[in-house]
Amino acid sequence: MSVSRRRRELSPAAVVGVGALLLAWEVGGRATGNALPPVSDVAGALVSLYASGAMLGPLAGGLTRLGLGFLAAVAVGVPVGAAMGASDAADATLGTYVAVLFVTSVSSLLPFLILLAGTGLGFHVSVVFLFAVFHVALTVRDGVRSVDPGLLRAGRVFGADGATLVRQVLLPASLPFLLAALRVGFVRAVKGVVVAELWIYAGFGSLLRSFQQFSRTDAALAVVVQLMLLAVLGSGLIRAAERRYAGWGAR
Amino acid sequence: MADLAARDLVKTYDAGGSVRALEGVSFDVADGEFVVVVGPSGSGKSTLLSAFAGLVEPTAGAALVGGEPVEGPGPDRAVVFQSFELFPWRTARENVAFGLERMGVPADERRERADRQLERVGLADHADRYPGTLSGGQQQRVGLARALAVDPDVLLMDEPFGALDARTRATQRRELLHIWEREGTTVLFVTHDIDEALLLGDRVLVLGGGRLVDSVDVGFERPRGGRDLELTDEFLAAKRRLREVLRGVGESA
Repeated sequence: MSVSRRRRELSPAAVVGVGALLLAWEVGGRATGNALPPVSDVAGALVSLYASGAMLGPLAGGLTRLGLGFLAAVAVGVPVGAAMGASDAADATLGTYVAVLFVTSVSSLLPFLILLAGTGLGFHVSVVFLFAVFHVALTVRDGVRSVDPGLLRAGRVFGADGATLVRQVLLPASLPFLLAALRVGFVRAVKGVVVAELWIYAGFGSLLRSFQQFSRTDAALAVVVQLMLLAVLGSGLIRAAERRYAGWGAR
Repeated sequence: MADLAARDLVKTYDAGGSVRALEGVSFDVADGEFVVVVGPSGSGKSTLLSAFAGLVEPTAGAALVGGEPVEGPGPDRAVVFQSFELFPWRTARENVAFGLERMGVPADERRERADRQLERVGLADHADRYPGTLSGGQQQRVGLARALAVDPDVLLMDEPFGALDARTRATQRRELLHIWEREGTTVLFVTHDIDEALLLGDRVLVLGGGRLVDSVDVGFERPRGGRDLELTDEFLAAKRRLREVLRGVGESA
């Protein structure tokens, strides 16, 4: 059952590609005398991190920070992006700030943020927010900009205006972009979690730092794999929602 | 039902230097009349239609429907667009029901009226399909059904068959005539196809450079369902005349 399901979702080429990579990792690791820990060691380390409970604290903390920061980024980024997409005036005013901050390295702002917000939850959530919000806003902006003006004309002709036009035409027409924005934003938010935690030796960051200190590369890579799985899982869920609710956009 | 009138209609766009799309156009369309507007691209014919749809505000003059100046879109007027403009996230039935939803028609009545219109355009079996799965011809039928569903007094058609292949176009013209001959809705129909203009219209208005250049009465007997009309001497004579007029306004037809 689960096998057939997996087959449906993963193309044979993808399975072969991932399989080849894992094999190369394993063989390469063993051939270099564990300079790169083989994948089996990393998998073992991941299991023992869970078994010892060492992973649970960082995971719970990370998910909280991720969830709060990501929600804040969506709550701000979507309306800002929608306004920039719908109105030239909003695009001209907000656009400048968003564009400047978009190209600014968020990481370089971290020392400043620590001074401002300390190292508590507020700091983490701010970093995650800053990592995700501009990508969310700009993706939504482009989505709204790309809505066929003919659809808006049709909406108006058949009686939609103002808020109704937004709800009945603009939003559904931008839905594929909105979901894409969430996906991009989520992946950025995961990066934000890690960068913030690395800076102040918290959560996954403190795990990574201590494994580095004791040269436990297998365990460090296990943490990396854990983070990768988190990003892949989240964006996969959003992609499934795209297929489910915005499948018409792909046609 | 309603009559239409254009009174010294002027529309100037000022996107990077002002462009005059309409330079004082006046004409009348009687209640129930089928009037076709032809002209080369840039002649202002789409702007004219948009003014009656309430999508474009005239710079001067007025577009009148039933004697009242048009102020924005309204359920008395429905538009069929060249590129269909169906909502891709809605099924055919939901597209047809869009206008009825905005009018506050209850759900079961909406469904019934939408299905009736879909049946009329021969798409009863496709009510649950999404536009992306329909052919161009089918999509435009949904577009026509969506317009007819609101039971408009005036049907505004902007090159509705322009994006279809020749065969589909011929079929859809016939079907439109059938429907119109039964309904008697006032129709303002924009096209650049002379044959189409003569096959469909009671009258053909020729637009060139934002001005009304000529108005040709088309006296062919109705119903005009048959194909032979295009081969008659009167038809060819009318076609020659229209071509000459259009050549005068820069159409290389």
